Amino acid sequence: MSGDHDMVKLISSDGHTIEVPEDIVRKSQTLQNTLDDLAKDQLENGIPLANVTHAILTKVVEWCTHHKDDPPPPEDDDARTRRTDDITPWDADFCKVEQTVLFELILAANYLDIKGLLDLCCKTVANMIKGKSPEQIRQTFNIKNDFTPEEEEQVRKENEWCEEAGSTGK
Amino acid sequence: MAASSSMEARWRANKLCMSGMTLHWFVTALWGGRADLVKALVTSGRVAVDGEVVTDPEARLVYGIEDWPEKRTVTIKFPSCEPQDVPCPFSASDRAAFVCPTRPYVSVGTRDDDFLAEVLTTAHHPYVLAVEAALRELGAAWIAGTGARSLFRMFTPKSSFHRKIVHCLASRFGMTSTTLEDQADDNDEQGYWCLDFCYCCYGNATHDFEWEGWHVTRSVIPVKVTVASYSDDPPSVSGLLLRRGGGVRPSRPRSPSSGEVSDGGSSALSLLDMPDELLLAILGWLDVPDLLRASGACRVLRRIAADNTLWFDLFKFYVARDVDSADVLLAACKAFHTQRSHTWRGLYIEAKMSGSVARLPGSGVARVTSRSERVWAAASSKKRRAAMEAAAARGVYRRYGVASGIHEEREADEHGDAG
Repeated sequence: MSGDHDMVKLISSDGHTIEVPEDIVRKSQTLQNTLDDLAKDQLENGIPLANVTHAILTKVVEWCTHHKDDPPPPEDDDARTRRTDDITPWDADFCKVEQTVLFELILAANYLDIKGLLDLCCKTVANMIKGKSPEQIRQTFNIKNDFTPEEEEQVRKENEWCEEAGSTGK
Repeated sequence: MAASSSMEARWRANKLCMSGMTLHWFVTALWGGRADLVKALVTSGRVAVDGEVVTDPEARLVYGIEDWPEKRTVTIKFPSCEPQDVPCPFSASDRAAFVCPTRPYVSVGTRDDDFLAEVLTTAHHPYVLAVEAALRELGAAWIAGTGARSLFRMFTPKSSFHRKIVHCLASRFGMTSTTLEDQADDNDEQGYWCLDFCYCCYGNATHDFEWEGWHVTRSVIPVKVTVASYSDDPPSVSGLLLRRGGGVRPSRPRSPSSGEVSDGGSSALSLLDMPDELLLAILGWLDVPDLLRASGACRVLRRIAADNTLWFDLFKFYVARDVDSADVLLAACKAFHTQRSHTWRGLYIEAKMSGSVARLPGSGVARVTSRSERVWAAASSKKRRAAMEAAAARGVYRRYGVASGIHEEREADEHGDAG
């Protein structure tokens, strides 16, 4: 059965072509729309992806392949919990990449409209933020502190209610 | 079969017109297919203009919107559906509305809510790509013939101009919400919103003439939506429009870690290089304490972390524990927001400090659920009240303008308790 999959050519922004089974390609909503709209003979030359490099496209295809049998993610955002600790070991391992690659994956997932991958990458970045102080966040992401001392104090004051609310129990 | 029905639906709903563009781009814009594939469609003889088959995809639709003959039609025969005629979607009065002093320009309009709704269901819809490509091509064509630059104006009926469409286009053209100014009056062209673009043959357009609008030639950012200030209210379209001839603030500068952007190179991305909507998506996974700590890292994160979208979600999440159904929750949120016209962040803080949204005047939650009362009863311990008093004394409540309502409510509650 799996051997009968139609292959779709994807052309990365740096000119590489990779052939991917159609069911994998359809994990991307963007590409699914393209496939639905076009006749087969129109797809022979491949689908150019102007915003995704070969390296990132390969990673995306790897993720889609691993998750090809997953049910479609719920559309309803209300159903989404704010949990970020539910990342599977495979996904966690997948996201153990340089920050640059992680951010490029986010851009690619957004461009290709792959909700699962986008959520995964965003959760991973969120986990890199969680539990850190502002200074630690700056160090983690190489962010320059552009606050003036007055602004910094203002931010601290604005946020102190949270500490108070937290200390008084939810 | 699904493809065919989808296509037919799109065609039935389709009322879009672009003037002065080549045939294959016209078809692309109508159909939403990829340009090179549409070219193949034209070459294969499936497109006719006024009944005459045109096989040259580069054939230019020379008539503009103003002089588009009423009965001029472009017929496109798709492999999987019947031929469809595309009449001019604009009446004579509409066309008059398009005439404007800025030349040359391209008018991109759609008058059909169904079509907008249809494309909006596609997260990364090809309509945006088609418009972008059309503008680029027209710009290139104009430059080839006349000079170094070209101005474009995109018109869209005000009534159906959806926030998402605007943000899609703005994002594709490298704009962020901060580059769009709230100048609705200047952009109100007889019921149409318009966006002005400039295409320049040079990558760096800063040398250019007096034009202060947006340069299409700047980098195209591969993102979908920028919603920097979302609220439960209807979208503020005026806030998304680019002021004609007005100054445009530069996009958010790249973070120090990413270095300067070279024209052709792909420099390393960092967190702050993410578009606003993706930063929102990232911060959306944070709890309140982490969100607030992140906001203390730098100005960009502070701005993003204060976004109403995030706080609306946090507010909903928080309030949800007090109500029993989504409908009640939504009604409570809307009533709450309408009556008090606060930011969601302020409302969240208010609810958090009061212990329960049900205790806040105007929330409407207390009337519809008894569970909230139990939550409040459990929460209103002496310890909490002492903490609230202390916070109020330090002005925490007042800073968010919530002092009076809560205190009045609490006083009433205490009287009730005594009774």
